[in-house]
Amino acid sequence: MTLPAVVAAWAFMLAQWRVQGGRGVLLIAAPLATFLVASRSGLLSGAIAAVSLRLFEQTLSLLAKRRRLERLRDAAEEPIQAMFEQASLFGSAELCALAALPACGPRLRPVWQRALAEWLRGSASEEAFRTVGRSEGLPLLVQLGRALSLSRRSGTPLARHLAVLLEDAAEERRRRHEAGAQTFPFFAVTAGLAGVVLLGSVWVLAQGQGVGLTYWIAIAALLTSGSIPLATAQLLP
Amino acid sequence: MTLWMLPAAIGAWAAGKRDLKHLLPYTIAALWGPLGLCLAAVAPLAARTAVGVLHRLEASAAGDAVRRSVPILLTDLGMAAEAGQPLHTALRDAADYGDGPLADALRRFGEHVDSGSSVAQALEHLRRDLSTQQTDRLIGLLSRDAQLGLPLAASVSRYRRNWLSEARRDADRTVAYLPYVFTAMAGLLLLEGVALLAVPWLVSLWRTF
Repeated sequence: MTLPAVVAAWAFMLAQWRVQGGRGVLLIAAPLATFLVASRSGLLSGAIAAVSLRLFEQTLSLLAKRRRLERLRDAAEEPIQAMFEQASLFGSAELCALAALPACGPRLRPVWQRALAEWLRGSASEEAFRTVGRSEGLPLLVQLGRALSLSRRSGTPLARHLAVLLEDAAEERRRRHEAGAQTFPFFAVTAGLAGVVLLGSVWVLAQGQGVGLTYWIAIAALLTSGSIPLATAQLLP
Repeated sequence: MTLWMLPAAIGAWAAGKRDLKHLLPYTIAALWGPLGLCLAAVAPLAARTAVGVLHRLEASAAGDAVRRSVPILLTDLGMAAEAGQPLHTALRDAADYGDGPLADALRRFGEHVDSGSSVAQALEHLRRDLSTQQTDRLIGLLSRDAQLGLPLAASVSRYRRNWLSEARRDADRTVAYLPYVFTAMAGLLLLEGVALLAVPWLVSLWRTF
C-alpha cells in the first residue's frame, strides 16, 4: 500500500462523507469500504467502489423522498375533504381553508400552515396554494388553488369544484397504489439483491485479490449492483 | 503523415461535407494512422446514432410527461366546466396552473389565440404540438364539440370518465412490463453473485488438481 494510494483513498472517503451529508450507517460504512477496497485492490477499484456505493445511497435517498411525497399526496386529500364538507357552512373559501387545518395530518400540517401564512401575508389564497403546492410537488394543492380561483371568479360554489377535485384525486390515488403494489415487491427484491451483491463484491475486493477473473467479476458486480437499483427506481410508477 | 492525409482528404470529399469541422475526424485519422482511420470512420456513425437515440429518449420522456399530466388537465377542465368557462379560457388557465410539456403546449395555444387564430386552428396546432394518441383523441373531441357550439361542461362531463379510465389503462400498460424488467435485473445480479462465490472456489479446485 503506497502513500498515494492511502491519500487517494482518504480523498474518496472525504468526498463520500461530504456528498452524503449524513445518512445513517452508510455515512461510516461507505467511506470505510472505499478505503479498504482502495488500499487492498488499487485505486481503480476504490474509485468504482466509491461511485457504486454513492449510487446505491442515492437510490435509498430517492426512495425515501418518493415515499415522503406519496404520503404527503395521500394526506392532502383529507383537508380538502374537510373543506368540501365545510364549504356550505362558511361563505368564504379562505375561512374553509383555515377551518380545514385541524384535518391535516402531522406531515401536511406545516405545508398547509405555510400556504395559510402566504395568504395572511397578502397573497391571494389561490396563489398561496399554487406556490406552496408547486414547491412541495403536490399537484393536489395546485389544483386546490385553481378551484379557489375558479370559484372566486365565476361565483360558483366552491363545493362543486372540490367535488370534481376529490373524485379525481381518489381515482388517481387508487391507481397509484395499485401500480405500486404491482411493481414495488419486484423492485424491492432487485434492490435487496443488489445490496447483497454490492457488499459481496466490496468484501471480495477488500480481501485484496490479484487482478484475475475474480477481480473482474467483482468489478462488474460492483458496477451493476450500484447502477441497477438507481436505474430501475426511476422506472417505478 | 502525408500519406495518411490523402485518405483523410478523400474521406472528407467523399462525405460531401464542406464544413471544416467535418475534416477533424479525418485529420485525427491522418495523425493516428490506420487505427485512427477506422475510428474516424466509425465515430461519426456512432455519434449520429447516439444523438438519434438521445432525441428518441427525449421525445419519449416528453410523451410520458404529457401522458402523466393528462389526468390533471382533465380535472382542471372538469372544474372549469363547473364554472361555466369556455374551452379556450379553460385551457389557457390550465397552463397557468401546470408545468411541463403539456403546460408549455397550452401556453403556445394561448399565444395562437392571442395572435388572432381561431380556436379551431389553435386546437389543431395544439394537437400537432402534443401528438400523443391520448391528446389527439381528447383535443379532437373537444374541438368537434366546440365547433358544434356545445358548452364545455357538456363535453367534459360526457367524456371525462372515459378519458380518465383510458389514461389509467395506458398507465397500467406502461406498468405491466416493469415486473419483467425488475426480474431480469434481479436475475443478472443473482448470476453475478453466484459467479462471485463460485469462481474463487472453482479456481482453487482447479489448482488442487
